Amino acid sequence: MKVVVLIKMTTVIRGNPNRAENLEAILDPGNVALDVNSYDLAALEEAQRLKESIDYVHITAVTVGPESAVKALQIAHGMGADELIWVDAQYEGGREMELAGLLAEVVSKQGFDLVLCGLKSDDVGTGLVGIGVAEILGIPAVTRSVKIEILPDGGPLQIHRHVGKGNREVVHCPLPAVITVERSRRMPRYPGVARYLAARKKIIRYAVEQQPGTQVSLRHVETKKAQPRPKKIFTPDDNLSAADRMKMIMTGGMARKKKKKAQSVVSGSEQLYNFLVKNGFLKNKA
Amino acid sequence: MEQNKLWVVAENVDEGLREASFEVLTEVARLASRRGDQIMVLFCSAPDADVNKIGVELASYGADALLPLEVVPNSSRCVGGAIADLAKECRPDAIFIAETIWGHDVAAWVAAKLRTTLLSNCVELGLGPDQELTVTRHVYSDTVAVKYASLGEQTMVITIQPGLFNVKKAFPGKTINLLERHAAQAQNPDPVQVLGFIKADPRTVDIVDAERLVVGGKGMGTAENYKLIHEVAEILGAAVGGTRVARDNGWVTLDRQIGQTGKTVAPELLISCGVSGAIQHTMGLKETKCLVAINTDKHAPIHKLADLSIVDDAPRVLKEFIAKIKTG
Amino acid sequence: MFPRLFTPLTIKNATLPNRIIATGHLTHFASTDGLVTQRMIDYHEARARGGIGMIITESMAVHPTTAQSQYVVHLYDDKVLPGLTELVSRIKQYGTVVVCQLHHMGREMISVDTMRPIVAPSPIMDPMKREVPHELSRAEIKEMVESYAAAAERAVKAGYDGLEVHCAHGYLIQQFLSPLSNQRDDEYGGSFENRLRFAREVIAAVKAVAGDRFVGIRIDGDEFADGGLTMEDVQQIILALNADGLDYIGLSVGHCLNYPTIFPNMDFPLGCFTYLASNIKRLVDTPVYTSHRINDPALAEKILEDGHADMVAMTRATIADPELPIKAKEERIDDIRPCVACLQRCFGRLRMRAPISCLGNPAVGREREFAITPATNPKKVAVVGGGPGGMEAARVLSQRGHKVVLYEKEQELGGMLKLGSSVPNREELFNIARWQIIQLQQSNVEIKTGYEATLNDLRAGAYDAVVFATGAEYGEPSVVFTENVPHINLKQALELADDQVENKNILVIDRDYHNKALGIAEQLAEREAASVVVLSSEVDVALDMESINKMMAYERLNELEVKCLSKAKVERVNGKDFIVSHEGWEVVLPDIDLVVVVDKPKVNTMLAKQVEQELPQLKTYLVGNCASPRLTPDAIFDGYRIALEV
Repeated sequence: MKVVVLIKMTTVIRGNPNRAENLEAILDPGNVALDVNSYDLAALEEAQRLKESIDYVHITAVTVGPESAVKALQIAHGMGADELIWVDAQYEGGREMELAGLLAEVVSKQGFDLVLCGLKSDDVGTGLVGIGVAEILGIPAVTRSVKIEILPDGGPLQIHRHVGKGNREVVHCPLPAVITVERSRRMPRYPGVARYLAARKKIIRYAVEQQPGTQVSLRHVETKKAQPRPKKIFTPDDNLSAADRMKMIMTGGMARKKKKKAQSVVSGSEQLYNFLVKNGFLKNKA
Repeated sequence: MEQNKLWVVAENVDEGLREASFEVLTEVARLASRRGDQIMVLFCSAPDADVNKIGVELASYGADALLPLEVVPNSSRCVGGAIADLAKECRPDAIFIAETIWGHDVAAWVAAKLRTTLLSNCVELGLGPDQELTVTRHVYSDTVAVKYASLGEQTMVITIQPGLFNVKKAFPGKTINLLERHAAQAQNPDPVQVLGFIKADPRTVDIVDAERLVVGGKGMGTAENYKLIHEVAEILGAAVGGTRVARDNGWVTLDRQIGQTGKTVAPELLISCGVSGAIQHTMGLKETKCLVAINTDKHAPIHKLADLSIVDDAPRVLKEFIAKIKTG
Repeated sequence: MFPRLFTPLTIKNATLPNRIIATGHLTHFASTDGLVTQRMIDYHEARARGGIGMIITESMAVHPTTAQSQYVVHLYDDKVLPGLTELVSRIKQYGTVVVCQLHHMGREMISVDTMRPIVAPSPIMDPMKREVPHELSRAEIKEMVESYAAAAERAVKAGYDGLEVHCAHGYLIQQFLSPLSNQRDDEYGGSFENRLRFAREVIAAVKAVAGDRFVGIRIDGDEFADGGLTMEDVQQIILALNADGLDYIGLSVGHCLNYPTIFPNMDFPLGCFTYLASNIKRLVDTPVYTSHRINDPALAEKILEDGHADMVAMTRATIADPELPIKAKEERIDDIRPCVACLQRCFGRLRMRAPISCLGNPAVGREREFAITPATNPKKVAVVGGGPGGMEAARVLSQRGHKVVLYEKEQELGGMLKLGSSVPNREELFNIARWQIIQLQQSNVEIKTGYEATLNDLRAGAYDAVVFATGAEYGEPSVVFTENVPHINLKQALELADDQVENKNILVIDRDYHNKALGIAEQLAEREAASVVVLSSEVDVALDMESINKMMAYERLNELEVKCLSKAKVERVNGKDFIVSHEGWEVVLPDIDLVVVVDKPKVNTMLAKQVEQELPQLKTYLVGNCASPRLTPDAIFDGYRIALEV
């Protein structure tokens, strides 16, 4: 099975950005570092586990970016990828679908059964490219995978995907397909040093003639230091009378609960048991 | 449909529409009233849904039209495809969806099919000098804000971070144009098949996601007593949490600490054992629906917040409770 | 622990070391001729030393027609400059940013303090002060704007970092903004633009003289009065003023039609008005502060983390403990003396036209004389009684280096506060005792609980001095109307079992005149008594209770259908029917099952008297209720004062 893993380097801000006066201070070169996208590491780990579960998996890692992107391939190789492709091109924000088109072209040329990629990136986090590749290739996609299993006898993949609150959905997906990977409890393995160092020689570089972005219908207005956005907060309705607004304030937020304050003769454990039964948290055994 | 320039895709939950969808609608309605735009809400309707009732409610938040969708199969890919097809036809200025798990997937499919970018997890909407739509996203772990403005040529696909915007019925008594149910049959049925659902294991679930929690504090006294918390949690199918003191004593790990220096939880049931309820802790549990407090100190602030206050020694209460369950 | 709270904030040319601020508040420390006093300087300096980020000083009168009382700073006169300059420089030496609040009460005052007619945009009687103001002429408005500028100029001369134009709390500028108080038909009234004109002119005039100092406003986020300004109206006002250029915006709430909100007591949920700031913060980039019922650094940090505001006003919290910022920074959370929003000694004393103090912190306004200094001659001291007074004495004595043994006959410390905080909505009161207990546990005071001190203990202990804080007790009810119905005292009422309360008709006689009768009435009503009636011979039940607490309590009692009969007297009893005269009418309260007589407690000085006789050489002191039955703050004050005397 040919598995292609799409990976990238992401920008990481170090230091305490809260204390930074302005954008320049946040983006001070001393504070900015590059790291492999953590979701992509999870995808690489997932590929590696597939490789360990069956004996005919071939992993190709693909990255798009400037020279600095090569480090992602070195790490991929260190973790066990067989083939490394560096697409020497840059796509700024807003051109995700062009990037998806390019990646679709690269993986088609390469040949694949399964495309794995991170759910989104740590830095910009649009979370569109994986689905974009599937759409352009016209193949199925499963998002937020936390576990991939290969069913015996050439059956479909069985995937556990995260659907919120720690719950999972189990789906079957035929190949070829795109799967986006969620970070999970399983830590990605460390790259082996020897393979990491040997990676550079194996990298295949594709140069791309980039078209200037034409599809984007957005105007960049400004970039500045992010102020925390006020979270939703309880606000009484202006259409209510003043007295009603005040009443809502007195009970909103961290309101104390109205309850009968009786000294109970029933023991604590009885009270607990009765309460849990009464409120449906426990079935009455009696 | 054509006159509705702003579309809001609402998400269904068991009892109706998701709160986050109302947040999106309230905020979009604020902009629409300034721009003189009309809002259409789209939602995947079950055949037996009372769309009139839903429509009346949505109108009070500012919706002008409601389009019930019936998509077969009902996967995020097919829903996204149906919305994208409609958008190609009607060319709205923007489509807004709350950034939930479902919302993100649908929005990504819509954007992919429209071959446009996805402005995901936006934190601010506004209008530019020429009344053009502006959106702000936070990047680089919430440290940098980037603001974009629409050029008005293409439909923008925007998801909005939940939990930021207040929900408000700003248009009481407004009426809604209830559109005919739109049925869409996907040409290529989604080959991804859903087989089952696995509920989170309370023992391993992140306490932020836990539906039930048993939480211990200083009043548990010893690590030995803390095992009672685990036993009760096991009985109730609950996860275990702790206070700062519990963590400092090594009774729970940092990822299970609730409060100002730990996590904020929102369970259906929380049993608080030997926790005084210093505000540093209670700030982490104010979303709790049903709170039981067991503490010997009847003045402990936790009792003020509790639905059931038990003024008693927590380890003893738990011990007796466990015994009662075991003997039946 | 509080990364956002301790992130500096730059406003124009000044940088706040942290986000904790104190809003402008009247202290009554000014002299009657309107000058800054040493006491005022010491008070604010103590807060600056405690590490607060910004202090907005007092609320200073910009014109001779305004005075909140006899004790406000006359910023309209150059005579204030020397004192003001000293005040500012003393605050600034700790890196605290200092802001001058420019204030005019308009009609919300009484002319007694100025001996001049009160002024307002329109001659509409103030609903609370009940005086009809003089309608300002256009020439007088011009003069008023100039006096704001002149006052601002004085503040700049005195060295202030910033200026705050007070547009809140229903005072002069808000009176112009609100259609309820502004019914002018010239260019200062009517339309939104016109009502806004005075505020705009004042702010522009202040900015014109401010130079490099910053200029902010404090404004009510919602007038909470029908027909008045709603949150959305205020948002439009703020957006308009902000478009002219503001350096910060402070959101507040409260005026004559809803005055409990100015000083929210412990009935109000914590941080309950933060939403007003949050909803402005969404609309502007200008720094915003929020205030009201924020008494804990963790809550303040959460407000910043959730993005609701840029600065958090913790005014009363820093009255209760001026060192709150330092203690928070050093993560000594348990050491922060809490504000319990009791209002008894801050707002309560302002209403009595006395200088402010604090229930928990007797050193407020006495920073010099009440500084805790090491004892020159450390002694061995017994403190008998572990209520708030005794604990305070023990705490301060031990801090001064005395060796202290604290005796408490009950198992738990807390004394009368245990009772006081057991009635509904007073639970928070116990936080002050909890703080004292933690402080004592950390000190080297020897605590003997569950142990009643005897003469022998005091004789054998080789003590140099004894502090009695043995409190007071409720004895037999001072009045019994009939033998047919049981009469009990307050303590017995608090100990009633459910079946003695449920479905009973209970009569509460208020002979305490403070909050206790209302407290027990509310508790009994909440415990589902069939009916509760409170009866007082005075014009009001709970006559001497602090006014905001009283208003809020009346409201709750109303909801619980507790009847309060003032100017009332039990005339006679027929069987179990009580015939009561009430404001000249006779009414029958039928079938009373229980009478609770709330008396003043009687001092408990038994041991003190024994010592006086048997151990005359032993130096003794009386603290709190055992000296004279009063309130918690008096007991704590006594304890602190005596501890300095020993």
